[in-house]
Amino acid sequence: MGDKAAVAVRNVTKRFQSRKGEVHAVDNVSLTIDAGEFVSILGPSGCGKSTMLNMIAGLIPATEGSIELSGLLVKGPVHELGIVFQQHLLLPWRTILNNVLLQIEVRRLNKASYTERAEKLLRRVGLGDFSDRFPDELSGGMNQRASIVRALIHDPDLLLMDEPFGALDAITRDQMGLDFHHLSREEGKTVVFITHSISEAVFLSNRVVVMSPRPGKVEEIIPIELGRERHFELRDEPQFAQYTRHIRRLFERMGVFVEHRRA
Amino acid sequence: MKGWHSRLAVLSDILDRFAVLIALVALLLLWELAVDLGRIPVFVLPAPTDIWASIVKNWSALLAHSWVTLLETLAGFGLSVAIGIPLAFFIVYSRIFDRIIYPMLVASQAVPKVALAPILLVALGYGVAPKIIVAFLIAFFPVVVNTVSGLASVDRDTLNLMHSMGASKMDVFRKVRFPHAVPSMIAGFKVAIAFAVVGAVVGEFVGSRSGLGYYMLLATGNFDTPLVFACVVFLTLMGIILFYTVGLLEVALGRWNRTARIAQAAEAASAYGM
Repeated sequence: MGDKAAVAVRNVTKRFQSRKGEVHAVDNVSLTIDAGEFVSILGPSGCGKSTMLNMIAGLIPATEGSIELSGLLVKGPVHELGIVFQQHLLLPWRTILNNVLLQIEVRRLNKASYTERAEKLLRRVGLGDFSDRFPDELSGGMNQRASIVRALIHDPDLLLMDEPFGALDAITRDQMGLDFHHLSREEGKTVVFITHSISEAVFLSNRVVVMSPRPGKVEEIIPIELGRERHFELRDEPQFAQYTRHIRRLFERMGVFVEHRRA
Repeated sequence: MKGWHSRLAVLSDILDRFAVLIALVALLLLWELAVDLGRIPVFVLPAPTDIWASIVKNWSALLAHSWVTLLETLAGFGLSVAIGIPLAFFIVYSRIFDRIIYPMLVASQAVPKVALAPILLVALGYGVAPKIIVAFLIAFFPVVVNTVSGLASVDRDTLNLMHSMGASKMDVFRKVRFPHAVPSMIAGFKVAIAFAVVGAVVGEFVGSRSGLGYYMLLATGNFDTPLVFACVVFLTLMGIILFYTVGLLEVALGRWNRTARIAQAAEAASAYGM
């Protein structure tokens, strides 16, 4: 664990008050992510994985423990990163290009000098012809691509993805996952990827952090040795099945999955 | 070759487009016939032709009184926008306003504002002021409530996204909250302008020397029922015209998917204004 870790989560616990009393969302999680890694945080609904992401982004404080990004302690909203949420959150009154450039405007960067990069990235994700369209004219998948470009436009080292493809249909989702994997490798980003899909996590990641149901704890961290380049055929390989089977059994052991045994 | 099928389609298209107009004409005819055949006295229910005759006869007086009512309505509406919008901003941005003023405002809606008209008359006299104030009191609430809900209904993740970009409160207001609120604000304006007409007329009922409400009372006193109906026609037209004028604002700026443009214009306006 070097002091240059892109993300260092140390003994982080999160409890918050709700109407039904105290909720223990995350319990004593420690996790180190190196620069350039693609790490998925995988768990069932309500296991606190989105809470983890929000704490890493500094959007909510941890109750206990600390988080450092590239050696800097997180104390409030972190600006040196890009976030993609499950919903694309594009502003409906702005064109795709202007939605991407919102990031630049808010950061008071020079819009003119980033427009070219925005257009290049939009072309890269297949939206070259749609930059002056409005979000309601595009499909969910296209909008989510635009929101990924928005997260990349200012060239952050770290990308936080909160179930980014969760609202998409299965086919679009697979394609987007693969495209995003390649894009993030090309751009040399560190990626923290929240998902509840076992195959998505295994397919995209260098490591998969499996979390238990609430209160969310790290159950196991699994390095995925399937090489740097990922292709769809990989999913038919026996190693791929071994990883997914291993994780499914972990979930069965935790009671997340219940097998229907034959009598 | 065009068959009767397509001609029928054209006919049904016309019927479809002018359905409201056709129904209205039919209704007026029915009314006329009923009054005629039923020998209903004109001071109980005048026929549409009687009302029309009265409109023609009293045209200039009707216009003059309409003008007074229109100005009172517009002043009341203008006041409700001028005070309602800043108040809504305070409610959204200030905890004290949100916790104290807003609940009081909501509770105050239980007060029948029409009942305040006589009190205002005593305090402010027979001039236009009490009418404007009643119009304002009625129109003000929908402006505030719609503006508040528009500004406050931005979702959590959008705000989180803005914060992660390092957005200031002003950025969030100008780039997200205000443009987001515009369609809801316009919806509030539409309700408010219709309410303002009611307020102005009620104010005139209670005590005045001009305006359609006053003219109606006068006509009632003279048992000139066709003129009373003529006043109602003018009030209705005024209400419709005002409602659609505010609606035009919406159309001019585009609607929600084309609302694109609404909010875009709003954003541009806020960039100049603030």
